[in-house]
Amino acid sequence: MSQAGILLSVFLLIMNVKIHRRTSLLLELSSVCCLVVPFAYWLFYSDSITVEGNAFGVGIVGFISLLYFGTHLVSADSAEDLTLCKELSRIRRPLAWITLPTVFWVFSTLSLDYTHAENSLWHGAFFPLYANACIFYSGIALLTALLSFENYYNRLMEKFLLLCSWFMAVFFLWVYFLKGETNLISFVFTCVVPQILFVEAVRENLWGRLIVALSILLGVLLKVDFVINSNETILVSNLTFAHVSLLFAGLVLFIVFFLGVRYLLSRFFENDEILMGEESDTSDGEVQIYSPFSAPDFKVVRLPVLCGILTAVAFGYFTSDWIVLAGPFGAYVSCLLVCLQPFTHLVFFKKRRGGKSK
Amino acid sequence: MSMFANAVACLLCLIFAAFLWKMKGMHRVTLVMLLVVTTSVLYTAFVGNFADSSLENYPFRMVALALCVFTTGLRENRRRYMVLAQTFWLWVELVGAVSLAQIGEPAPWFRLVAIAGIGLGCCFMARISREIEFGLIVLWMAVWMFF
Repeated sequence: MSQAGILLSVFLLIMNVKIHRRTSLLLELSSVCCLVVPFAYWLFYSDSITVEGNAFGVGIVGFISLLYFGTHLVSADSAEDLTLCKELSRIRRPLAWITLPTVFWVFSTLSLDYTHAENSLWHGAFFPLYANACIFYSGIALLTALLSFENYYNRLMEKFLLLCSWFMAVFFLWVYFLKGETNLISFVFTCVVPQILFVEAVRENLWGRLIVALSILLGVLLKVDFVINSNETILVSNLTFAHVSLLFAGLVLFIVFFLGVRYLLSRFFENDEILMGEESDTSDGEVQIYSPFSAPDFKVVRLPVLCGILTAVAFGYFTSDWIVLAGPFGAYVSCLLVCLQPFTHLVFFKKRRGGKSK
Repeated sequence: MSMFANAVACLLCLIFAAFLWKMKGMHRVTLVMLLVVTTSVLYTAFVGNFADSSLENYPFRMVALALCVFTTGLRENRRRYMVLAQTFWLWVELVGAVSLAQIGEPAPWFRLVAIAGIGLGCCFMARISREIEFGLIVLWMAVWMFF
């Protein structure tokens, strides 16, 4: 779940889907807050939890999410230095290009490792695709729920949620063909309940949207139960006070952290400029065609990605870990170098301006 | 899967590509896409043998190939979407290959290298002419059939 928000935000940016800045900021913030919960649990239970390669991978995704979120926040802040805002908004899309494959890869290796080491029933070429599809879908549901709490409504996302539910139904069908069994309760919550969004009265109602979003999140939780225990009722039937307390504590921690940061940074979410959306209204809609190696995104990303690939190769060579951590480590270095670019540009720009004035 | 069934799957992908994003409206476009995915799933279910774990991602490979062929007909942002479609195909294959390698089954590494090579080549193309479009479709079909 933690990677759902950032995954959706970078995906929408790369696919040129116009969404309001509030929506994308909420997605990124939800990702960062979701990662705080397992980190807090790890701090509490550090004696009994061993940290392995995949956890470092998730940590790297968390760091990249934080960088992406921070860049978005500062570039949205018109009260700050305008030159810095412009420079930072230039690196958002390159960061998204690095983040998207990293998130996909980290989650794929996580699910591959799980099936390899823990649950051989799901071992196969299909499970990582299934897991990523669930993450993506739950990201849209989470966004709908968060927007409902903000008392906002994104028609595009709701349409997207409804359409994705059809594809999830096909995934259920494929699981049935592969494993010979499926989880009906989860299917009802994940794929059948969202169809009530066809009814306008439900679609236009805050509680209706919230119920659909929560139903999907519950359905995904039951599906996780099905994957782990091959039965979708074990989680509910074996619930003890300790389990409920842990779930509740995680939920409360997420909500407190999310709302705290949300209200602390409300000026980024709620000024007039932000409500206009990502695209400038003065844009004439003309599309410029670039030849290879001349697109602005490519110019920003080429050197950092080259350094990232070299670092990943060196990392893989010295640690023999080519699959789990080499890629995320390369992405980590690339993102750091991309984020350094605006500051180096600004330093050189100031020096040059200082030299001219003399 | 037999050579004939594989060839029919490839033909299906070419047919799918002709219908994708041809209608107006988000619901209609998605319905066509859903039809494509469902047909791929049903085709694999009826033709393939589920004891073969390499077939688990076969329908999604079919969808990826259909998307790749579809991008050759785009007018705007063709290079970007072509690279994205091939990256999706590469990801499906790579994840499947790693999964197969983990259980000690032979993984299609040559197919992976071929898709990565074609994808990288597309990044460097300034103009994609009709001849190059045709060449790309032939290359993808060759990767599908022979690797």
